[in-house]
Amino acid sequence: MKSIFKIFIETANSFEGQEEGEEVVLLLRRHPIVIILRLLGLFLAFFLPIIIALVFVDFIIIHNLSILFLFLISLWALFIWILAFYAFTMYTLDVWIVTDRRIIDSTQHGFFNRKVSELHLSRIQDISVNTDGVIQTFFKFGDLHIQTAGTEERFKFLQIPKPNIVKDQMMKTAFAKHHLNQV
Amino acid sequence: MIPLTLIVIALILLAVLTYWGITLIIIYHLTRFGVGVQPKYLTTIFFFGSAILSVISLFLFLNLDVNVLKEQVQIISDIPFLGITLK
Repeated sequence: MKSIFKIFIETANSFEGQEEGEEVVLLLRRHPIVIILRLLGLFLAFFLPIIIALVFVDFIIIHNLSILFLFLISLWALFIWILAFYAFTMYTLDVWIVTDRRIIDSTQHGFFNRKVSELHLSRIQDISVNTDGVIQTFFKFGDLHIQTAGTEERFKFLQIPKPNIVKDQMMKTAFAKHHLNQV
Repeated sequence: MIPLTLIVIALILLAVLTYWGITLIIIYHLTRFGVGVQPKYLTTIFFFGSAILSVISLFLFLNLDVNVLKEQVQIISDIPFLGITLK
């Protein structure tokens, strides 16, 4: 029984495919405002049948429809609950991991469409940060682009919080790795 | 002619199976691919929330009189919506 609860404390920042001795430096997800905005619509939708019930309250009581209406509200709540957690799942599984060896970009598009790509720190050539618009400036989040050697596609970290701090941390890790390789 | 009670029960059963199918897929994704402890916490909240909501729905369904459901649906469809009666 004790081992079941271990997953809540012992799996911190561990991931599938982690190499032996590989340490996670940064674990990044999109800024929470992204998921909050998505959930706001669902939160408002949740109250829709309750508003309808309040409008037609007399009609519901007169015709003895209260149980049927409560049952329909509970079905609606189940539907909203599963939609909210679908959004949470997509948000949580869209992750960027920076380790002391490499950068892993894991993206989830729907349940059965998953893309994982990785880049070794030694291949980083240039990192740029892009903060675009009022919302991104106000909530301190933005995009981070990593240019690699050759004509390869750039690595993109989208809507991550505090991209400037992430850039500095990443440069520090890449420099440390480079320095270690030379020694 | 298939009785209405049987049709309603079959539909509810199908909805329950679909709902828990999707729930298990979400739980699988969060625990299998989730990095860190946050997905595990989310899985726990999601599972218990789903279970509680399902029990509430089931309880309300059991209190529902399926035999008068047809009449109740008839009453609701008689409500004029934007001047149109859903009949």
